[in-house]
Amino acid sequence: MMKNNQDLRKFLRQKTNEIIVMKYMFIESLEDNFGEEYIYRLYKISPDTIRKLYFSLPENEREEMRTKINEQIKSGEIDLKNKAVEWHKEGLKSEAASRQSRENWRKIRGEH
Amino acid sequence: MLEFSPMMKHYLEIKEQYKDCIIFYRLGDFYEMFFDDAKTASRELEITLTGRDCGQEERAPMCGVPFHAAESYIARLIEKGYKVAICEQLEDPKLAKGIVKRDVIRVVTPGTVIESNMLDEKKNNYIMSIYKKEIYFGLAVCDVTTGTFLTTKIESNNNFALLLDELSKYNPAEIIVNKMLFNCKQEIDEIKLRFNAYVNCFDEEIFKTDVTKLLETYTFIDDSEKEIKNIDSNNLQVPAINGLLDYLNQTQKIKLEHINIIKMYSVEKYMSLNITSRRNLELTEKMNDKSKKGTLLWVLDKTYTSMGGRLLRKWINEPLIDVLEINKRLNAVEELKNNLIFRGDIIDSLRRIYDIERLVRENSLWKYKCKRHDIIKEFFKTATIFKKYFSE
Repeated sequence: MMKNNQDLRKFLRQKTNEIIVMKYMFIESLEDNFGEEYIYRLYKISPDTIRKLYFSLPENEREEMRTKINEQIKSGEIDLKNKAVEWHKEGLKSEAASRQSRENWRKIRGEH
Repeated sequence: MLEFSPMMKHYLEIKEQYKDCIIFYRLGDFYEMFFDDAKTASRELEITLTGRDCGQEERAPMCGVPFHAAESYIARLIEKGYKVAICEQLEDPKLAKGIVKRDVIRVVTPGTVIESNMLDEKKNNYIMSIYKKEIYFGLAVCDVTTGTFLTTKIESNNNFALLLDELSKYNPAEIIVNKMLFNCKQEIDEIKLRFNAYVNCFDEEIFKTDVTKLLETYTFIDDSEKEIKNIDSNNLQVPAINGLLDYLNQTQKIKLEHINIIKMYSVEKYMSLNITSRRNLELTEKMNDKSKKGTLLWVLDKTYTSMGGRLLRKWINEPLIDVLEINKRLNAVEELKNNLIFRGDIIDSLRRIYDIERLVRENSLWKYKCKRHDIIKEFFKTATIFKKYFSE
């Protein structure tokens, strides 16, 4: 249980940063073979944006997370490629949900 | 005039065979669409339209979706009433010499969808074949996901009204009809107006009257589940069955082993409810928005499994008229109502059961080769417990 809002905020920030680092490590592993546009088309991850976000994180935090993620990869706990596919599918799901909600609002307003 | 590139030539050959479908043409990590398909898909799926050199002066319009996310894009196209042909790479591109061998492995249509994320788990997804001869109709209905295959004929007076009643009972996602029915403009317009189904018309050739092959491959049963050994080839149901099976083979490109029993039922066995009564009674969907909430099904549905949900929907759509059958069902309900502990045990066992009807189909296509065997094992374990309960 989170003690207070501050703890919750810290936890969420940490999770977001973790995803940024994971995405950066993923595009790092792809860059030799694929161009930026290709990566965006395939996984809906913009390498440019991720790079900017990654380098805006404090260096020690970045390193700490990298080590942690590398360990998880080695132990087989996570697979960055699978993660990227999951993020993409989740993105499509939330797109579909917002499309549905737009559609519902249109129906409520009586628009066609 | 410049020639098309070899890959584009192949694409155009495939497109020629599947004119009414959007071709998902596999190129590496993507399924690409070209020309008019690309324009349609980019508009419907809100994806970027680009171009690709095709050997001509102008670039071919192109858009694509990643292979790992194709299912959700296909679902959206099907929902909008399109048919999708999936053209897959049949060999490893790294090992291929020259152009990679590709072919259509499946045609996804509203009535042949098998992906669980595109389906309502408590609702059957039916495809119906209607064969018209003179003023009579032969009907065949199938749910590819569960293997349910039913057939009937309408040979009484007022036959078109009865056909509409049958259609409203199943509410098929897709209908295939013979030329004779398709040419009856008034009737086909009425069907299109009343039902939100994709209607395909086929030549009389696919509605064969050959019954020998059918009897060799399938087991025919009647209303009371008794096997039927002989079927008259003049029977109106035979062309409807052959037409539907032919269409399923064309689209699925694989032997559908889970479809092995065909039930021939009589329309007189169940209460005939006309389409207007069905709508006004709000049995399974509301009149205004077609939703389930507020309907009779919504009130009664306390089912724990998808199979139970589908069975209850079927029972509501097909009210019994045979007193013996009604009493049998009422007795079963009474027994469950009065025996609280027994009911609790059954509910507990049912919670653990997955959708075995649909899993059997997946298993027959070897889609989930090893992954799902544990689930099937669990089902048989529960079935054994049930058997013990009922024998006691």
